[in-house]
Amino acid sequence: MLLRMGLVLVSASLLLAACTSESDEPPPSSAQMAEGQQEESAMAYEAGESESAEQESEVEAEQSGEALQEEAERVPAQGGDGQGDTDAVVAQSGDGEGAEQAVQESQAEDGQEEQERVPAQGGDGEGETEQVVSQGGDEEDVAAQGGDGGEAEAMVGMIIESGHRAGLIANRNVVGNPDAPIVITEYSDFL
Amino acid sequence: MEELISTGVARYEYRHFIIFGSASQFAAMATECAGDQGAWWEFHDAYLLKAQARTFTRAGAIELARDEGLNVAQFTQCVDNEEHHDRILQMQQQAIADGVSGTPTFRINGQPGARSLSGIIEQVHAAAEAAQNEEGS
Repeated sequence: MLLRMGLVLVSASLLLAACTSESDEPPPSSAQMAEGQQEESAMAYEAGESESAEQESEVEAEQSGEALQEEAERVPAQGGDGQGDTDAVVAQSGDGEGAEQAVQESQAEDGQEEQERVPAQGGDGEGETEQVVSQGGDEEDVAAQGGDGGEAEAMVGMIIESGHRAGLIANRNVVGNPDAPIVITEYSDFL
Repeated sequence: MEELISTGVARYEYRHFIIFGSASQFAAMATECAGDQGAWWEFHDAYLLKAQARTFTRAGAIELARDEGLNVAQFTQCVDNEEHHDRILQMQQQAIADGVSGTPTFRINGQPGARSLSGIIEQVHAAAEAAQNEEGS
């Protein structure tokens, strides 16, 4: 009798334990199951759409890249020498690698053109320098034109520096050999 | 010009000819006071080539003397006592006697100089040739 009661108790406890473990995570309802399937299908649709969109964009980019490469190749051939033309191509270009290559090529060509221009500008610079030098050489002529004011002061400055800087100061207001046969005298006012 | 001076053919003299009043006279005196300490040309350059208005004042001249490393006390005393006033006045009177009436005026061995550097150089060369001819004869 006692043994029988013990078996009943054990079975009852086992039943209780089984019931409590199943109640922790209730089984999903049919509605919840349906929503989960919809979400999964929606995610799958979005992923598929994005993949197809990327594929389309790649195709467009390749197509536009090829087209822009042709345009970029045409631009220098048409004699478009300005960066503005290249910039216009860049503005029209998409994100394709072909377009980037085309832009890089066109920029490289422009770079070469710029490099070719730089020496030319340098040459102009030398010309300007020569002009400056020649203008400097004209100082004498400017002074030679005579007159008062700045020209005369420039002349005085040249005279002074010619002797002063050479360390030829004889005494106070005299530059050069005190016994020189020729005396150049300047009468002047500091103001 | 440098060649003419460095080879001893010619020498160059600067003489004060005051036409712009007290400021000019003060600058001339300050330059002569600087000349007492061996800085005549430094003051000349400062006044003539890179002059500023303040330089023509007593304070400006003293500052310039200090910049040039002169004995400022000696310089100030020279300026305040107008120690070179007579020297400048003598230059002025001599210039007027030589017929100078304006600035700048150039003379080559006392003769009126050209109003251009190239003209002056030509005059100096001509005077040098004339001097050599006189020595040769």
